[in-house]
Order: sequence, then C-alpha cells, then structure tokens
Amino acid sequence: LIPFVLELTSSFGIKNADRIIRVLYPLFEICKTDTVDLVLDMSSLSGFYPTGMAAVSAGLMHLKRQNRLNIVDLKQPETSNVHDYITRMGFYRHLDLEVEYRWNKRDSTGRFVEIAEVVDDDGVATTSEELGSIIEANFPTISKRVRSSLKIALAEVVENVFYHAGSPVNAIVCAQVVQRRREIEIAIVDCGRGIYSNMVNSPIHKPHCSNSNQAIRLATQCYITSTAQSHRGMGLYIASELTRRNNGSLFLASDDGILKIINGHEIPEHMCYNDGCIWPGTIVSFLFDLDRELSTVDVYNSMGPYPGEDDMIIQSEGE
Amino acid sequence: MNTQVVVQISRHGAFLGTRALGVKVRDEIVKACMDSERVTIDFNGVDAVSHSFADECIGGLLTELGAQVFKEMIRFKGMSEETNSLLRLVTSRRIQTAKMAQQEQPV
Repeated sequence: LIPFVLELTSSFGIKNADRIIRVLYPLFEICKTDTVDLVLDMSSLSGFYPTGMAAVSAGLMHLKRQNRLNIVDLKQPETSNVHDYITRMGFYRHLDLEVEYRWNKRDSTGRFVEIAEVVDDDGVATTSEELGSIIEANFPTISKRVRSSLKIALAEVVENVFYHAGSPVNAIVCAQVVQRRREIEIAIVDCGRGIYSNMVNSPIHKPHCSNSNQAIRLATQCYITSTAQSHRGMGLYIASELTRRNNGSLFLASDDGILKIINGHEIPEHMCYNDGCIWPGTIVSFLFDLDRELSTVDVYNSMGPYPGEDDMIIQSEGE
Repeated sequence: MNTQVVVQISRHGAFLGTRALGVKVRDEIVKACMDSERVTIDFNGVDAVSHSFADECIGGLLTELGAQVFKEMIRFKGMSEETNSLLRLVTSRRIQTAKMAQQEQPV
C-alpha cells in the first residue's frame, strides 16, 4: 500500500477544469500498478463546483471499485460553507465517507442537482426532471424552451455515456445554478473508453483521428458517430451547438484531448495542451447563461430537414 | 379493426430522453398500427423530447413502416415547435440515409 495525499486547494470548476485532470493524474498513474492509502486533503479548498466535484468523485470512485484505493483520512474544508455545500451535494456520501448530512434531500429551494451516478433510463429522466425543477424554482420567469433545451443537452450527453463509454462508474452527474450570475453549470463525467478509442474503431473516422484532440473535435460535428448508423451521433453536437449559440462555455476532455469553448468561442487546439496529463474517460461540462437564448429549435433547423426529404412526412391531425 | 387509435405518449413521462425509451414507445405504436387504419401520436403533456428518443421512436417507426405507409397511417397531435422541428429532422435524415444506402447497393 502506497500512501498518497491528494490535496485539493483553492477552487475547481469548469473555468479551471484542466487543473482537475493535472491534480488527479499522478494518482491514476500510481494506481495502475499499486494500491493507494489516500489522504483526501480538502482543508484549503475554497470552491468546489460541479465540474470539479463530479470529476473527483468519478475518479476516486473508479479507483475504489478497482480496489486500487482506500480513503484512510479526510481533511474537511476549513471554510464551513464550502464543507456544508459539499456535504449537501452528496460528495462525501458518494465516496462512502462518513460526514453528517443534515438537509432535506428534496428541498425545492435547492440550487443544485446532487451528485448522482446515472445508471439507466429512469436515472436520465429523474436527473433531467430535477434539473428542470431547480431552474424553475430559482428562475421562475425562464421560458419552458430554455428548461427543455437544458434537459435535452444533459440527456443527450448521458445517453452517449451509456452507448459508447462502457464506464465502470456509469455517468456521474451534478449541476448547480448560480443565481447571482444567472448561470448554470452542469457536469457529466465518466471513466470509460474515451472518445478516441471509440472513433478509431470506426473505419470511416479512423483516418481522420490520429489523436484525442482530433477525435474530440470530430465527435462534436453533426452526424458523426462511432456506430455504423449515420442517423445517430448527435449528442455532443447538439450540446456543443447549444453552448455556442448561448455564448456559454464547454469543457470537454477525453484521454489527453481537450476542447474548450469559452463565451461561445472555441479556444484554438494548441492552447488546450494539458502537460500530457490524461483523464481516463470523458469529462463534459457546460456553463449556460440563462439570460441568453437557448433553443434546440435553432440547432435542429440548422441541421435540416433535408430539401425534398420531408414532404408531408410529419402530418398533424386533420391535415 | 379500429378506424383510429390515439397513442398518448405522455404516459411515459413529460420528458422523453433516451433511445431505450424510444424503442419501447415505437413498439407500442407499431402494435397500434396493426390494430388500426390510422394512428395518432399525441404529444400533449410532453415537455421535451431528445434527439435520441425521437430518432429511435419516430425515425425508427418510419424505417419500420416505410415512407408510404407512414404517410398514410401516422398523424401527430399536440407537438410543440421544438418537437415539430425535431421530428421533421429525424424523419428526413432517415429518408436521406435510406436513399444513400440504396445508391451504395451493388448493381
């Protein structure tokens, strides 16, 4: 057993998500060959947002399930509101760490979707509904269309995990609204095969994928799928397109590849380098501006229908 | 045989989000098609539909029935603008991919 101290300092969220990978990477490397007795030191943590929480939770859970990790000590955040928030988000419980939980889980005034491992269809529906509920509770004037679009973005990405990732921790999901800035951060993390592994299995895409960065960028294009069915493969495209049109932010990391969209603009590939650190699976997180337009209709209309292919196929009753 | 059957899909939830659910609902619609001359798919009570669900349910239904039978038998009701756009998209894509597949067949 190798002793290891995982120090989580300052804050972790979508805006510095590559740092999460760099902090966890040495632990993943050691656990390839050894079992670790881990001290989880969160004493200097000042902020732990959905991207950070879902990634750390997924990574540690993955290593625990491989019997590569024992969490032998927990140093809780010294800032009490950070500790309370993390507790309430279900972070400790998710890792079987014993910390008192004092809140009502179904509190409708909550600003977040607690960490959950989504394992099946019912989980997708429940998590999506929960997302819709917290938006409605915190921003009652937000249109139904915006709420629907967010639910769809979440469901499409989680569905991708089910079909492509083969993740031993399924999909770890959590979300939080920031009422003051009228934003929502949503994170979906898995520890599966990663996008590159899926893409190179496709004879069509293999020639265009020589590394993870290319694979990620290909996977966010329209109708690109690692399956043989060309009508599939829309999840990441729809989610990334919603982000762009909303002037929102996206962080997508898989293996050693990273794609970042900040305020609607994609950051050039050469600026996404992460010191060779690898995430063993895929992290997808979004930050949406709830004051801006968010509509799947615009995304769908930009994808089709194809001229001449939809004549009267969809007919309303009475036509 | 009934003249018309209405399939109320909101009983599967207000949010229809996954392919697996799409398969389940499609099977229900196909069954209704066997017992009726016309099937109306009623979206009243449905808040949102994902692309995955729509492709599997309605796109898959189109593939299963064929475009001609689909046009004759299937009607829609209670669709939001989002759902309407999405269904047009998935069905047109299915028709396009079917045509492409036909063209790729060796002569």
